[in-house]
Order: sequence, then structure tokens, then C-alpha cells
Amino acid sequence: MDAVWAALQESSFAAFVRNSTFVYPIANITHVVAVIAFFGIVATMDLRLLRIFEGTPARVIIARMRPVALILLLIIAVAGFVLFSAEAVALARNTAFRIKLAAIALALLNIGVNERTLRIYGDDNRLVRFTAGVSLLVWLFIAAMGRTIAYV
Amino acid sequence: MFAPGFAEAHHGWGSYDATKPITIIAAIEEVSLGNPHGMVMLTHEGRKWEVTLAPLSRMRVRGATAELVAAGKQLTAYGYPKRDGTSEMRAEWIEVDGKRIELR
Repeated sequence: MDAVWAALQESSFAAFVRNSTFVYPIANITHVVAVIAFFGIVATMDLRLLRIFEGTPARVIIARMRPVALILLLIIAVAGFVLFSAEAVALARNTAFRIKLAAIALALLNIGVNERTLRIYGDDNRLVRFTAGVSLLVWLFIAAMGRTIAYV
Repeated sequence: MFAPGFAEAHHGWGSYDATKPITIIAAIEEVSLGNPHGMVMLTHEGRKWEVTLAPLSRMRVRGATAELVAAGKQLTAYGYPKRDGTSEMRAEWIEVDGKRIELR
């Protein structure tokens, strides 16, 4: 796998990211700001499922907000890839980065379980609430691991 | 394409010991002005040192162009060495051709 990361890092795209004055900082700012927006939307859905607030039915909130969350997730991933490419070899070896990727896999799996359970049993369900809670914690953990990359 | 150390140099400021500032004066052997931050390699007291600089945008704004910070030129770097003893420093400022560039 190391060869793949080395090839990415030595690609002309990665060289462009390193050598451009603005691409890297813009990707960095986009990544972080999109994470904030993403978490706000995710937290709204999860807190509704956890019944921290009620009123608008959960399915209505989720139907409106999940597509936005997915678009933001895509923006986060693209900006993240730009940042990753600039120093792929070191990042692929970075413990915090590896934990972050594993946690993202868990978070995506958790979305799948939450989605499916919600569709089958509705929002008055233990597993739905459990996965909503997991979602809140895991996304915050992912953000924390992202910041930890620079310190390990 | 670039020094092996280049990609490893991404870490927090806490890993540098600000209580033990050092000054290195040597010829620039390798230079990379890029993101997430630039670096130069030079030899100091028989060891190869990596000097970590600022991100490219800040370097540009402060006049640290590729023409100024170029291989072969004499560079003075004042900054803080890594706590773990590896020959790497985070530069507080550098001076080339009589021009001092603050990096913080």
C-alpha cells in the first residue's frame, strides 16, 4: 500500500497542491468549515431521534436534512483528499489518521444501521436511539482524531 | 523528488523546545517551499538539519520567494529544536541575503 501513497504524493496533482499558494489553505478551510456544518445537521437529526426535542416528525427532519449532510460529507471527503495527497506517505502511517479512518468506517456503517432500523421499525425504537447516540459520539471523536494528526 | 524528512514534518509546536533556541548558519542544501509548510535542509555541526518554515502563503506574503530562499545561499535560521533530539528545528525567523523573514 505504501507504493500507492508514494505514487499519490509524487503525482503532479499532489505537487500542484503543495506548490500552489492557495489550494492547500482553501482545502483546509473548506474541510473544517464543512465539518462544522455537517455536525450541526447530524446533531439535529440525532438529537431529534433521541427526543431531546420533539414536534416536527423525525422522518420529516431526516428526509430534509440527510441529503444536505451527504453533500457536505462529499465536500469534506474531497477537501480531505486534497490535504491527504500533499503528504500521503506520512499521513497513511500516522496513528491518529488511521484511527480516524477506522472511525469513519464505523460511522458510515452506523448510518446504514440507523437508516435501515428507522425504515423498518420507525423512530420509537431502541436501536434507532442507540445508533443516533453512537453517531453523535463517533463524529465528534472523528473530529478530535483529525486534529490529533498534527500532534502524534 | 524531495527530502525524506519533508513529509514527516507535520506536527504541533509543542514538540519543539522553545526554552532552548538555537541559531544555525549554513548553506542551503535543499529547499522546498510548499504546503503544509516549507523546509530547508542544511548541515550544522556535522549533522544534517531540517529547518521547518511557514506555509507557502505566509512565506509569499513576507517576501520569502523561491529566488530568495534558494539552494546554495547562506541562511541564518533562529528557532527551536525538537524535544526528542532529532536534528530538526522550527524557525522563528530566517535571514537570507541580509533580509530577515519572521515566520510566526
